[in-house]
Amino acid sequence: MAAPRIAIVGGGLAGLMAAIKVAEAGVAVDLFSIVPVKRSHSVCAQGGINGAVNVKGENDSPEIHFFDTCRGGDFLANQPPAKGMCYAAPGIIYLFDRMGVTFNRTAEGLLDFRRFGGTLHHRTAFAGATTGQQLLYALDEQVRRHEAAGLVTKYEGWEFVGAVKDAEGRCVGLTALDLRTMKAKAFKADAVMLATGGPGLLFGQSTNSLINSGSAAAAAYMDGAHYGNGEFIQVHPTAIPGADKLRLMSESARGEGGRVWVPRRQGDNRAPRQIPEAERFYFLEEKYPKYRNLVPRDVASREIHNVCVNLGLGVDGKMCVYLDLTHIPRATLKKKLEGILEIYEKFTGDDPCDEPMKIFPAVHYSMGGLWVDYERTADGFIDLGSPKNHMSNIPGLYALGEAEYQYHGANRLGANSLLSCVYAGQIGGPAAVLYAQNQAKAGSETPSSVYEAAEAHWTNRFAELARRDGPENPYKIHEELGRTMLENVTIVRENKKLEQTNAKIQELTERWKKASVLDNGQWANAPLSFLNQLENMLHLSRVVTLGALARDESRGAHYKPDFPDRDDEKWLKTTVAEFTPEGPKFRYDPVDVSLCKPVARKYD
Amino acid sequence: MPRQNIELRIRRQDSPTGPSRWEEFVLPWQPSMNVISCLMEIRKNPVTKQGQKTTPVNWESSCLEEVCGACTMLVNGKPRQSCTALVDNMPDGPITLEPLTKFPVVRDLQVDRKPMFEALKIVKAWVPIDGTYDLGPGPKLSQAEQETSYAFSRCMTCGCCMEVCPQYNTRSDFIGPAPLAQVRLFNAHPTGRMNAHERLDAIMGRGGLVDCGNAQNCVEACPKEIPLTEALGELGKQTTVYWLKNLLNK
Amino acid sequence: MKVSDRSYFALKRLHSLTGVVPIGLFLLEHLFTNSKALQGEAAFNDAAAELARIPYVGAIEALGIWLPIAFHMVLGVIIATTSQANLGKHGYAKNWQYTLQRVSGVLLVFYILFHTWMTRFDSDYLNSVSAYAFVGDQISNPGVFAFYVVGIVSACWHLGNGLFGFAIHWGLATGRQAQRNVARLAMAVFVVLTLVGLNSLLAFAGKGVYPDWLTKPHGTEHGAVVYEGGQH
Repeated sequence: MAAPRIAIVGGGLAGLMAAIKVAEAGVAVDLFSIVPVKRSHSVCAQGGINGAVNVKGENDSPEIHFFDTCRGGDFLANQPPAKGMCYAAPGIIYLFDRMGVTFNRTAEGLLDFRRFGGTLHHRTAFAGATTGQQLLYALDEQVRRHEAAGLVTKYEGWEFVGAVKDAEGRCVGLTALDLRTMKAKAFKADAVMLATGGPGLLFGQSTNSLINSGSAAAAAYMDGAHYGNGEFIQVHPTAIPGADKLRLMSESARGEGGRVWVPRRQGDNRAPRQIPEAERFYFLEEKYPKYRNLVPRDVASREIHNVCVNLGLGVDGKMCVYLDLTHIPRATLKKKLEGILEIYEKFTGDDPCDEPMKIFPAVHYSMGGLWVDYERTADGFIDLGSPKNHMSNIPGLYALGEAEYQYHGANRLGANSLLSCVYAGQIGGPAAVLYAQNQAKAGSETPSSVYEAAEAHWTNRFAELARRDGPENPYKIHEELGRTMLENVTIVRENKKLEQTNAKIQELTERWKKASVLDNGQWANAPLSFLNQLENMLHLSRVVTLGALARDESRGAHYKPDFPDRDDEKWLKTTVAEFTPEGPKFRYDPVDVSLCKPVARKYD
Repeated sequence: MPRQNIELRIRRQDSPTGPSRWEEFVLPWQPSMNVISCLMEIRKNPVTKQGQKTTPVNWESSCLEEVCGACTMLVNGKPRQSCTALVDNMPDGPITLEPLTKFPVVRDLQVDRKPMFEALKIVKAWVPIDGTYDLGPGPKLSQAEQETSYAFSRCMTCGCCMEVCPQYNTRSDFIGPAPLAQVRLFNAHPTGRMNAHERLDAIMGRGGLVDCGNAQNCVEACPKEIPLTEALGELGKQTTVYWLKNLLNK
Repeated sequence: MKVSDRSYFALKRLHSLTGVVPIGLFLLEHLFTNSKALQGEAAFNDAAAELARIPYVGAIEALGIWLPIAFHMVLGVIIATTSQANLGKHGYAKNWQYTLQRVSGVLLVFYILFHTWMTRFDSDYLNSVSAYAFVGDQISNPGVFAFYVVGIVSACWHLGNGLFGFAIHWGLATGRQAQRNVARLAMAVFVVLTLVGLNSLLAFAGKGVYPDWLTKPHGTEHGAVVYEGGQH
């Protein structure tokens, strides 16, 4: 049997961590990424990474972290993976510390921790306000080390377009598009791991990078992989608007003491610093005296929506509130939040040390993603000896990071995403190695005709797309998709509007068939790749929309005013979507809540 | 007074070896536009100022908040991230966009910065840890050390410093300021320091530190204000000491 | 030319070093001796003659001055060819300094060849009775005078600004403030040496500036000026 090879798609935290784990096991890795891995979306994570290291004398523990995570996710997450993650968290932070991440320090030289939403503990390790960037760079460096040693081969500037399956339905490779030559090529692999990030682009503008189309995960879904909890989309309460994207203003701003408020009086047009304390409405602090400004994101976003839309108190009459840091000394802000303050100042021209920031909610994260399996031990942890961990329903196809659904339930806690990405890589990588090494028939022994067929299929597909010359512009179709998704499938969801959205997506899908490729060239043709992605995005949008339509309750980030309560009896279920050409077919799986009993979710 | 229209002059090139040409575009002004949103508008209607149908402009971008480094290009002749190039902050008149000149053009505004990533391999820009299994906490670090190192660890391999460096060009082997600053970073780390000599060996050859010409443009151009020239001075010291030690102890 | 990585490093460091020692020191000595011209023909001619009486002068001159200068020159020209100047696009102060360092270096190649020929090998010079008078005669030609001015300014710039590069190359100035201070010092060296150099040039034309307060030992009424006929 030939030495196994594992293909990893995506060079963010999850993909890189998996690559390191696989390489450490002595197995060769082919690493695919549409951008140089150092430019992956993980760089955008700002605030930090959670782990109950308990350096502040608060008696924090992984068990409390686990509880906070379950409750933050409104108990929709299967609990063994979440438990495994929280217990592994301190070790993960230490690992990054050893890799040289420049985490902020206490006076004694220990790792410093700050507060984040949904917890009362200082549990978030951070490197200024560019923690994601720092963690990604650390992994990038370690992968480069393995690359220099010859175990990792990078394919940067390649886009995953589909899985290659053998006659038994196992995933035995992938087809990728070279974004320069625009040629599709099939690659052999004994296991394929998708760590391709979230689908922020479904909503047009979000806090996500432009590469986060969700297209790769959607392609896997269309290849038969199941998609879990797609309707759970996190809207971050604090972002800065822009014409091209919405820029995140990290939760760490509130973790370091930032306060959210609006003028008490409707239409109060005074400059924010002219408004006296008594005339300011600190709505989060008043309603949630215990967690104050650090309620989970879904709660904060809903409150902002309520204050701005229902009470009409939004700044300038818009969906906009103040995030105020001006009471904190400039030196402290510079040390702990420099990166995000710099972003705010660069994009708005105002110095947040002097002026309260004007911020808006923005689509930020998908709790949902490709459905993946796990194997639990009797005491509720993940069985690390199982190849099932992080494997999709397609044998040999794995999913990691935001592309997968497993850790966050109905709402993710701030600073848990970096953790879940790294943990997924840590356990997913070895699982794929186990799988690859224990197949009776190695994936790479699949007859070459299978790969030739896959390559021919995609070559024809792109040749067909490259000839498209219809009247529609794909970027305009995308803009319309984003607008309708943003309006109807975010903070507040109504069944009527969800139905309209579903119809709109189908209309856009029809129009997609008449879209022009805009560029018939055969070199670095971005519109050609986008045209293909757009179809995938349209399919995935229906998973999100129809999943939301079906779920008649309110849980975590999914809120329906017509069904304002959580309904555990009917809806304590994982949504699992299966692709059919007519649209997604849904199944509802029970959730393993054996470790932490669902309780009412209260933060006041 | 915001402008009514935005004019763009874009240097376009269909392939790495093909000729380049200028194309002009006119777009209606919108609030909070940046160069990227202009390029996005163009692809929704790829027609030049002269009314000619054309192809959407190719460019590289990802995060759009100046942490990924992808969207670096020459905006009005200066290398910078185009995401933070806000239209309202630009002087009147057309905005010119060109690809970086120190890297091979892929297409239009997209260039290939692979040499920068390869340089990180050459200088061994990593902490050689034993493995990713659980080995407990890392070394303690003072707040001052953390702050110094953090400045260097924010390098996003964007290429601005390479673009403005007169020593980084096809006539010279110089690897440029960015990878050198990473040597400074890793040689300061308590574990990384153990292999400092390997990194110093790597930068003491042709194209290494001694090919820096002290023009100090790098530090002016760095969007993250990384103290690159301090790194170069510090490496001057480290290589001097290492070289003399070797001369005297060999 | 193939050189190993380590020799490459050594060559470049040697290039940097020779610029200061011995070439920089030689320039100081040279300007010092030239300044004797301010004290008159005899003073200068005596000083020049005194130099010629240094033991092993031939060897010192060849190995301590000509060889290092030739090495510094050749490597310097090679270095200059690896540069792609971009002052037009990026006109930062330090970029000016960087560019002028290369421009002055190349000018100095021509100047030094000319100057060495004229004052060391030219038969008219070798046959002349007074070196002072010979130089004075030479610079009465405005073209030659201008070339001397360019040469002196270039040499003083190249050494002064070279000290800035030297301090960073060798790691003597690492911090931002230290580098700033060295840059200031380098400019001061440039300015002072240039003034001294140009003044001595004028002295050969009989126009040197030579006020008492600058040249007589302080606290004495009567200076220790030994030679008569100094230019007051």
